[in-house]
Amino acid sequence: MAKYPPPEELIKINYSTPVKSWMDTKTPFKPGNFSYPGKPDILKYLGMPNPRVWSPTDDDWQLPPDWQRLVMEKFRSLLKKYRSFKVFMDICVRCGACADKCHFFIGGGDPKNMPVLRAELLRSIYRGEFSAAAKVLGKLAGARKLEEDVIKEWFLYFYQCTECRRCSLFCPYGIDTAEITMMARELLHEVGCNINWILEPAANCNRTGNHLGIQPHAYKDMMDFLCDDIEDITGKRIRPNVNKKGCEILFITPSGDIFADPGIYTYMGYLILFEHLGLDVTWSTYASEGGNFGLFTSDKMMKKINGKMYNEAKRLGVKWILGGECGHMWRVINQYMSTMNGPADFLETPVSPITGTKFDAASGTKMLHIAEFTADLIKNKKLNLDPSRNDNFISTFHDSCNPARGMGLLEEPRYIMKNVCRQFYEMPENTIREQTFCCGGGAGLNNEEFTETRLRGGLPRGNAVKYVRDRHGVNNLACICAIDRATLPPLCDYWAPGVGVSGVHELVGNAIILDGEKKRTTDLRQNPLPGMEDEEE
Amino acid sequence: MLKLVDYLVLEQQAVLDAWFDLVLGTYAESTAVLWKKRDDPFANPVRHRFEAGMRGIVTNLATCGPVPDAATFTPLLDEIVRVRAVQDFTPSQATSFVFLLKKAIREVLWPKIAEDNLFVELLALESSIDVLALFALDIYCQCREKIAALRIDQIKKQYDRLLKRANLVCDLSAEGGEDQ
Ligand code: SF4
Ligand code: SF4
Repeated sequence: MAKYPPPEELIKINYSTPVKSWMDTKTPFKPGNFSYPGKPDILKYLGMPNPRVWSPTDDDWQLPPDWQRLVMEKFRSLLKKYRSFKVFMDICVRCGACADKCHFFIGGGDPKNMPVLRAELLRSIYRGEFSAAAKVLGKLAGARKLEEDVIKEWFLYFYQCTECRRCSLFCPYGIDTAEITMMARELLHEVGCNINWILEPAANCNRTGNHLGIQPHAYKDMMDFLCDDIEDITGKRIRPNVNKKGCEILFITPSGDIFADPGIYTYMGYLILFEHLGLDVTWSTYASEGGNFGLFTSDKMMKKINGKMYNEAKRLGVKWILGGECGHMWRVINQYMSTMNGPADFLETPVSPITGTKFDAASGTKMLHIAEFTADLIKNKKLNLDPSRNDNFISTFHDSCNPARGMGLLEEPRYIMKNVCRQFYEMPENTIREQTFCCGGGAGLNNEEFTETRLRGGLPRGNAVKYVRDRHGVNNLACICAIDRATLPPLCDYWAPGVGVSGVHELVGNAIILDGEKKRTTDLRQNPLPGMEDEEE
Repeated sequence: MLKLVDYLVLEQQAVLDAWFDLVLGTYAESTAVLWKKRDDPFANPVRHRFEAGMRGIVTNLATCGPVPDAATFTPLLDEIVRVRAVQDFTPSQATSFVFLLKKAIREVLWPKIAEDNLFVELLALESSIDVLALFALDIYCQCREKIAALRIDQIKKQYDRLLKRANLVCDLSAEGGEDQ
């Protein structure tokens, strides 16, 4: 047999098979696997501790001198404040049912991305510091001491969790790793370890009303710009209400959709829909953000940003709020709104002025999801639709984590899709609905520096998209979340090239026939409609 | 008398199993266990892609003659390289799986090779595998370039509309520029 060493020894692959136990494996920070830390001026603006210039690749993270005490005190107070947190710390039996359910693990294979181990990063400290037996037994009981390396590990792995809650679906005890991640991030805030992509949008939102920090006149300006495009395409000039008092409905949607491709086409879809209905609705430049990065910052900030929407509804004197295609806006509304800023008694339970349908499920928050609103319109035959205008799209639907798992919004978007386009195919069932795979960009991880890891976590979603692309010729992935609209295009480009991304209401906007519109030759992207390839403007 | 490539066809499954095990050996032990266990293509896309790519590579290697052609092997290698290009590997680690095929073939077919004195054929086959490794390197670089391009794209898209609106940039693509 050959005398030279076999190839796998020549190559020495050191990522594999750590011989040490996971607790002793060092945390590797590499460009592409972490998000940039919060900038000091942003931390100062938000009144958060330990503002400084630092990088996760530094040896010294410049933690405050008494950082251990700060973390432990916060840990203790969180355990007291959230009973569920204590329960989650205590009851995991390490059965492993969740181990291979996280998209970051499925795509990357790093064991610390198994939800059970992710939680164990926190649990081991809980045991080591709070449980008497483990204090004595130490590592034998899966316990350890709080050292600086633990903070580093937390930062890496709790900012590699999108809080999508897929894992919790499979846990027999209902342990929600997303909640554990939230707690860990709170602990990290105490010592000033957080990411800029979350804090800066939260600060902007607080200051100007939206994540990008766009001021009211610029917002209105962009809106006019989109109305110009709609006029070019349909021949109709839409004049939306902005900050108008006394309308029946206030409409709120993520700001990403007014500035970013392909969200703007969804935004145009809303404008066309409201015009078609003659809806008594106003937009607001103050509540110009549906997203709530306060959810990832602090209780106080989440409450404030959420409160802004309701204050604006009060100021404008509307009856109820209609909410656009957004992910975590709905998580905040459904999970926290009523206890945080509720009850919104000055508002009424949403009633569709077109169909008369009363949406009792929204009676607590007084806020209705546009997918429910539109599905009800279609069901009552109130929309004049020409689905053939979407014939260039062969679509599938991506369930966004928050609407799907958080609020059970599964049928309405599909019902709309099937009515506004004629070619629709589902992805395999263990990748959709409650079991949907995350885009990899939730919970503040949709920044550019994290692209590589996000693509890694995007493999399971990309793989399912590729499957329907190859099998049915699917070329469009529709979704109802602004973060998805930003993260899915690169995901598709890498894993399933040739598939584009749209919002559901973009397709609605294409299909709606406005009264007195001119013969359309293009869709909202100004691509020729089927059979109109040779038409001149 | 049978040639080495005939044995490769006959023993295909054994070679594939050996190769797959070696490749999974480049991951953490607990990961390898889970990935070997679950065979649903959508719950475990890594295994699915790897198996599809590997099977194609071995089948085609048996019939491709002395010079493997890029058109046949690139899509098959892509199934694996594209995944490993985003898994925190160094470039050599990411593409090393190709060389592990040599090891798998030697492991499984050594008795036949020794018995029938097929060493010259083995050298030829291993040279073909070296060519595959070069293809893999090309794919790896394309993937990494793609990731960099996607990052730049994301930054551009965020501010694109605003810059255009503020007349700070002109739209070259609208004038048939090089963009498209
Ligand atoms: S919440 Fe989502 S990202 Fe976080 S561990 Fe669970 S599956 Fe993974
Ligand atoms: S499924 Fe639940 S109990 Fe089982 S390991 Fe995961 S978190 Fe623990």
